[in-house]
Amino acid sequence: MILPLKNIRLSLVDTGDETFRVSDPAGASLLAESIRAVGLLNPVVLQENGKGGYRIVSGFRRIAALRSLGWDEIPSRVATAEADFDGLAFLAVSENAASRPLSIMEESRAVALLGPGRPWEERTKLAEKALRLAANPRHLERLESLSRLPAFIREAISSEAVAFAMALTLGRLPEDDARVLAELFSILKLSLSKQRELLDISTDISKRDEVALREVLAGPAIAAILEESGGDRGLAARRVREHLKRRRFPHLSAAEENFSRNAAELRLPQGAAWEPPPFFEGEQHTLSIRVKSRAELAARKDLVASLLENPALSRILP
Amino acid sequence: MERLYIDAAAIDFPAVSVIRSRLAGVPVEILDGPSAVFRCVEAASDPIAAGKRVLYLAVNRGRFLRPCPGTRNYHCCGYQILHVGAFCTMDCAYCILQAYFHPAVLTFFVNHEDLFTELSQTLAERPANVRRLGTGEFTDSLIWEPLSDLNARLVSLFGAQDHAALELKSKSTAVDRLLGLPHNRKTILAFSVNTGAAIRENERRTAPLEARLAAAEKSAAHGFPLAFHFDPMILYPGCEAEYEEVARAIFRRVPQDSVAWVSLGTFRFMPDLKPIVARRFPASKIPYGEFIPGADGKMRYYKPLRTALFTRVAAAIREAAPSVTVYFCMEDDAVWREALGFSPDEKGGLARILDEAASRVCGISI
Repeated sequence: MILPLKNIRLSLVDTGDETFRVSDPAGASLLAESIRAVGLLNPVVLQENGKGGYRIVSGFRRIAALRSLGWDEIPSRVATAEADFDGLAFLAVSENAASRPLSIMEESRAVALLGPGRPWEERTKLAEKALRLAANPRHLERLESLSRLPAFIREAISSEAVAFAMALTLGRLPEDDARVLAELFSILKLSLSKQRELLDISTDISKRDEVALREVLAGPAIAAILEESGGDRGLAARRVREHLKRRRFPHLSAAEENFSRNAAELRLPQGAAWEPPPFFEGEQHTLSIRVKSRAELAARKDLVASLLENPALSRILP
Repeated sequence: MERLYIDAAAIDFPAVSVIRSRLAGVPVEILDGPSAVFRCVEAASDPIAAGKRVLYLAVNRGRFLRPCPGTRNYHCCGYQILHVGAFCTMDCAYCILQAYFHPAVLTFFVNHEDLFTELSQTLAERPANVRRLGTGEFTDSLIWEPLSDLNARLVSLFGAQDHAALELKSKSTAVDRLLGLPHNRKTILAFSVNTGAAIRENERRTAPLEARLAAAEKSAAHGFPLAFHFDPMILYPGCEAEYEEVARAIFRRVPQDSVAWVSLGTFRFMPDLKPIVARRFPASKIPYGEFIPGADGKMRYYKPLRTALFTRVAAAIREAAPSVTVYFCMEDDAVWREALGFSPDEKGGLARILDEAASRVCGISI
């Protein structure tokens, strides 16, 4: 598609029209610094909007940067209002993909622009060409669906608070529940596996107790944990998970806490450990002693006898 | 039944014509192998429900007799499975078969002469590990009653020997066609039981408890030995008293000397089952109990919770029927000792305990 080069007044560009937007909104200030230093190297692409103005096809961040720099006009390749949508969309995606690695939300918006309404096999070929990536239709379909998620989920993806898979999961939840989870994930910055664990355990509690997921996660107990953790994300994450686990598995958690108390009373020397059967299901306990020398082993020779005298042991091994 | 699929290899077996005549009006499709049935079932929005609405008649090319897949770490009853078919027309939330077969399709094997040849040979050899056999592991034993005469033939075959007992296990009440058969007390009619609440929440298209007990009473009146399986027991607030009442209700209806055994087993499941239950039984709370991974890889209730339930229900059974053998399905020594006061190993093992119960109630020689 060959488009004529023109100088267009920035005031005529409708930046609210995001029809062809691929790029994330952030990043304009860095770009402004670059343009201030070396000028604008590539013209933007605009399309006449039929109302005397222009919509942006490619160059959202450049135009934001130029506005911040106070430019009045911008060199632009200009398409007519009748120009082919698919051709302009392909151009917008290709230019963005060629200029930098796209974020996941940018990829999602890019896929949404490529051949909407056509079969996914066809759209996949377009995406492979425009985005220069190997893809499969199912993945692209999921990727595109991100662009239709509520704004707070898209923001959580952009800020890397939630990953692709979790975003899709949040998108299937009632919006109020998803919002609470997205906020919590944004605060705690958990890995995907920890997010899944937290979601699974909260969902189980919600279904068991017949309360909404948001009530499980937005209760006073979790609010207090976040408050008391004083911005220490690691501590807050651990305490939130412990709180939920105690709620989900009250008897097992009580047994674990009881065991920990009794094990502490055993006053095992450094290098020795007592492990109960996993989940207290089997009957076999494990006493382990780590030594580096015969002398260390000799120093432990009375350990078993002293344990047998310890009243805490009879609570661990009745 | 929406459709009857018949494997081309099965078409000439006599059981097929019997089933076709009893399913008159149901569309029939002849297939070369199960792939087309699987595709059709998998394409449904609920493949598990779809697999219950069709019947696939096939030839079993493997063995009909298989040992029950017990695992180490837990005491297994040493039961032999007689593999007559797969899956079920009833629809229980906790049913492990939903996750066991891929996909789950109601299947009935029709090469009965092969079955009887294998069974007769095995029974003639009188192996010590084949004293209790049953068809209720991969399917419900009595759902086939309206369609097939297989159970009648099995009852008669077992009635003509004296060293093994057949257990037909069901949540239905379809015993009428069996009552007049020459069972010689070698067929145990076994009923899975549960509390009214657990049945309502988790067992679709099964008979109510009262109807099962009435069927058991009728069976006992015709001299059949009985068994009852409290399995899976579901933990919920107040369940202990309700299970105790089920135990008492059983022995108000049937004499204890007609009961070969009562088993107790709490809900346990492969982890794959949980999302299936959540999707297909959204009102069921059974996946959200306090489960931990067991030594066999299945999820099971935290041990003190199940031990406490077992202790109460076992005590209620012993009070109502002191002579009846009570056992636990897949539990370890600690549970046995705490809930029943002994380990099976002290009495020669669980299989031996049940063989002796079968000897006492069914008259098999061991």
